[in-house]
Amino acid sequence: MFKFNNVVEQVLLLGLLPILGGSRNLLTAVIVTAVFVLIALLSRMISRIIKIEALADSHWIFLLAFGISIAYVCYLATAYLYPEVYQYSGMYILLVGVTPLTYIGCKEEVSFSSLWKKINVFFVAILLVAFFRELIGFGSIVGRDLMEVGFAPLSIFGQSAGGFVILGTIWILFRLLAVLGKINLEYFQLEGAEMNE
Amino acid sequence: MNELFGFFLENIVPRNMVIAYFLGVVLAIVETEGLRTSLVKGTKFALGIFFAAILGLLIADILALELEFLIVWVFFLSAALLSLVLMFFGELQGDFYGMPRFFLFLAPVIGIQWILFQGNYDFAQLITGVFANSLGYYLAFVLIATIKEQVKISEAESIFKLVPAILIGLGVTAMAVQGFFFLY
Repeated sequence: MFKFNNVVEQVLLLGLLPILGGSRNLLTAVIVTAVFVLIALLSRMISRIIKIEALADSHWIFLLAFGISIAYVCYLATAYLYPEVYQYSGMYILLVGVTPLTYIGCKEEVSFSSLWKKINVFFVAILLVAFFRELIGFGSIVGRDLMEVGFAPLSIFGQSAGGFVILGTIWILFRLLAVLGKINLEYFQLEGAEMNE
Repeated sequence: MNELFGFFLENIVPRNMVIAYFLGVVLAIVETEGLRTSLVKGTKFALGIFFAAILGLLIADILALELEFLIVWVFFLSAALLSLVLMFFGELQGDFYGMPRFFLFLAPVIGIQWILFQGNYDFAQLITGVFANSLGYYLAFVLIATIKEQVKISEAESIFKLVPAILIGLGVTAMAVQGFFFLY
């Protein structure tokens, strides 16, 4: 049986909540990704400054408290700057602060290039899901209506059901392309400590 | 229908924390093995969510207005405390894709606390909401365990196995569940 154990699967699983919750439309996806990148980079910087050995395993709690504080500030900023994004997806901006994927760069064995690759995979995944959810579920792209008067979009795809189905379909397509050899899986290889059984 | 009972049912099915808000999907996908084991495991997680949410919401309720900015930390600390309790009982041990598993418990607890807190509910509704969401989580946990077990033993191609199939299954469930919205 083909084994799927690569960076894409890791990113999609560890970042499943922001990908699903933050993909209501393209604008939301970009904001959620910006918050994710900000917290990921800042927490990585903090983890390199503080003495992790002195805090032992409790360093995760310290980093999480820092991350959720930044996420809360971003949540309040979104409420002020983008009220429509805040109204429907504000909570997911806050929850980026407790998403495991956000803190993967804090591990010593994860290099910056590896973190950057994960960030890119996350961005592409959330954009793809958001594009199809907005197109099918709301009949628009970046808020611009594409459907003629009289055509109704499949609004169920704008809801949670659409998130699940579209992400599941994209995931299967990625696996299919990998099995067919159209995607070079060597590029998405995981580093030793991140492997999952 | 009694208003509180309607609120209780609404939080179990149409506004289920997993199906409607995606909260705790990863935890359920990662922690479920077989259906039988997930019956007990699901109870532990549902109770964890119940006590963490009650603790966080009660503390948030007694906080003075000037200290309201601390609510996020209250929710975070209550979730972290209950994840430690679950670790004490042998759950959330080890790593998943290089990250500690206790991370997976934080988002559903903080999320449900946030949803209920934003609702400005009275005390009875808060308790009912927390109980209904914990029960709803248990049902979704068992549902995911069932899908996972069936997908594992199915003869489908490996590309369809596990998570993508679970997500599409949940999507179809969400479509069915959202049909109940007309009741509320």
